[in-house]
Amino acid sequence: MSLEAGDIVVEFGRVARTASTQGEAATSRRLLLSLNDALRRHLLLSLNDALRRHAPGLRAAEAKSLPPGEAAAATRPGQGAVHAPPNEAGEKAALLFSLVGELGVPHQYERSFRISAGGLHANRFLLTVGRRDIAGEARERVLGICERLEMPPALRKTAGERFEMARCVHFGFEGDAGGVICKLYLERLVPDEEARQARERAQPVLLHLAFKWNPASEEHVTTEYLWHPGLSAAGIGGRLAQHVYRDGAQDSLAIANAVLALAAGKVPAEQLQYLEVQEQDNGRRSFDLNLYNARLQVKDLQPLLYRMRELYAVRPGQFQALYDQIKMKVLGHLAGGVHRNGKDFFNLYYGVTGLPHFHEGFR
Amino acid sequence: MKAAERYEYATSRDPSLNYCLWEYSPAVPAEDKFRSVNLLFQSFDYAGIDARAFDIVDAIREAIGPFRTVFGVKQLEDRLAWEFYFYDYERRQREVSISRVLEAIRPLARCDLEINESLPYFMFSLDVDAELAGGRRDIDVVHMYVGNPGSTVSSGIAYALRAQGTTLENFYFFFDAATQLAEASKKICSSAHFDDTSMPVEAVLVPELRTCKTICVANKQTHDCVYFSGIDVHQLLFFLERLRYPEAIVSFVGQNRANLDHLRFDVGFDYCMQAGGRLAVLKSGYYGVF
Repeated sequence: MSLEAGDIVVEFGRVARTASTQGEAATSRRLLLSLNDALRRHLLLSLNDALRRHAPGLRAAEAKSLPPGEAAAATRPGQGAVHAPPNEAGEKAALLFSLVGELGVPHQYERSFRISAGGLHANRFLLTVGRRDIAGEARERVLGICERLEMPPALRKTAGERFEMARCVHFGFEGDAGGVICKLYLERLVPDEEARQARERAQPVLLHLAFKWNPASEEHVTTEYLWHPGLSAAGIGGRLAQHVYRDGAQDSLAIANAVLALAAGKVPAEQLQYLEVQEQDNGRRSFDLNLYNARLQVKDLQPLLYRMRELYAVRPGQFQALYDQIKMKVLGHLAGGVHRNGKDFFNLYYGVTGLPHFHEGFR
Repeated sequence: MKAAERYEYATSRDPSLNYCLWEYSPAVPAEDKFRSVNLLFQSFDYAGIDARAFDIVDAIREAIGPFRTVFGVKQLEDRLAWEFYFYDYERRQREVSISRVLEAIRPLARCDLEINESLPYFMFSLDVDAELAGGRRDIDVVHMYVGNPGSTVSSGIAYALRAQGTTLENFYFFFDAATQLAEASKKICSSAHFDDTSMPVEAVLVPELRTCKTICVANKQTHDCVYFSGIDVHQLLFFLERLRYPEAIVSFVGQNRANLDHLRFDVGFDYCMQAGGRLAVLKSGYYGVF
């Protein structure tokens, strides 16, 4: 069937392959249907018409996600389609992915979860971009992304003033029912000589400066990540005991030490990057231990993760659902300690991957 | 790592599957209770098997996905052994093939058998023991199962694939426990290994277990076997005690009844009648899914 000058042409008959048609199919009949407007309208079947008899079933399917009262109303005939309200966290995360994607440069994607007495929060990730990879004015483009994510102007101004320190930038996101936090980390390249001197003096050096904000409330905070270069396992253990966990949370200290021991069993602790984290005007006192060099998988921490789950009374099935998905992923880093809300916590980062992915077939 | 540190818990999305990977409705909500794989892990731990056994489980699950493997914990005369079963009812259009699973576990357990993937099998199984898990032997046999057209009940045939060749192993016949109990009884009694004039069929068709969902009778080369599918945790405990499983296994199930009461289990035992009319249980097993 084909359309020719507004008419429907139907060709039918026997397919024949002859020398004269050089192998092409031959048709023995050709029917031309000239349609006037009335006939065209008669044949027109709109998508809505086709779906009309399925409308009750579609309404019932959509209503399954609603509370019983709303579901009863939604399934009444004559009701329009009912959609769940927009999910702020989902929309912000999608926007961040989109904006970083628009930079048009390779970037890294690393997921994480937070576990604490407040529960298990797995909607967290980092997107990392090399500053030199960004074409044009990197500062403006990065801050432009932050502006789209509703970074408060005062914080954006501060980030702009400190942008020169950045070798790479990390865009961070965490979102749950309680709201969304967006983050911009500026990471320095610490010169070898500076690291050597810091190690000799047992002094930390600034590695990351992070700007974190709540797009809905304009609350914000600036966080410093201080690297203690070349610490031995005993040195890291000492910092954990005497600084991070000095006021208690001994169960968490034991877990952190066990992770350290596991990693230090794979690679000298001096090759692990131990950071301490602090924020002005609040009691945050935490650490971040980079475990990539230990070449571990998440499953290598299974007993310790289960201890965390029990410590914070997270439901086993809820944790299992996450663990099933991530256990074979590469272990990234472990953060923990006392958060700005005064609560003990752990964050586990895992499964870093490079983006964008290209299917080989598209190359 | 202790087995208890590996225990897994049911999520809201876990399917409930029997030893044929047929779905059933859990007796009570499953979330936050034990997955059946904990029975496997506990048996590994009890037997002191090499930790590579756990790696084999991980490698299989990573390769073919979760809840696609049935495990059997077998009690032989003086030791435990295990068997992993793989189903794909798509037969030649299968995703879970012998070759795929063998490739997944090759770093942990070698197998040099040449597999003809054109055969219409819907299931296969691999024997696992302490020697295999310890890397002291290769996989030397794959059990392959095909359908049994012409049988009036659901049925299957097992073959053993070895380097020396393929040999016939077992015939399986499935009966609905509620509606086909008499047929199952007849099948048990129609055997060279069981004389119902010397022994009541209840010795095999155990009254405490036959309230299950499905009964399977197998005719094997030197004996017969019966399986009870879809029993509850109390029946599992009865089975383990009756078959004199190690105390550590019995007490694990007993102490975790509340964590296992959402599951339906499958059990079976191989038997033959010996001189003097005594029923000899040659081996037995209980099953779950990972």
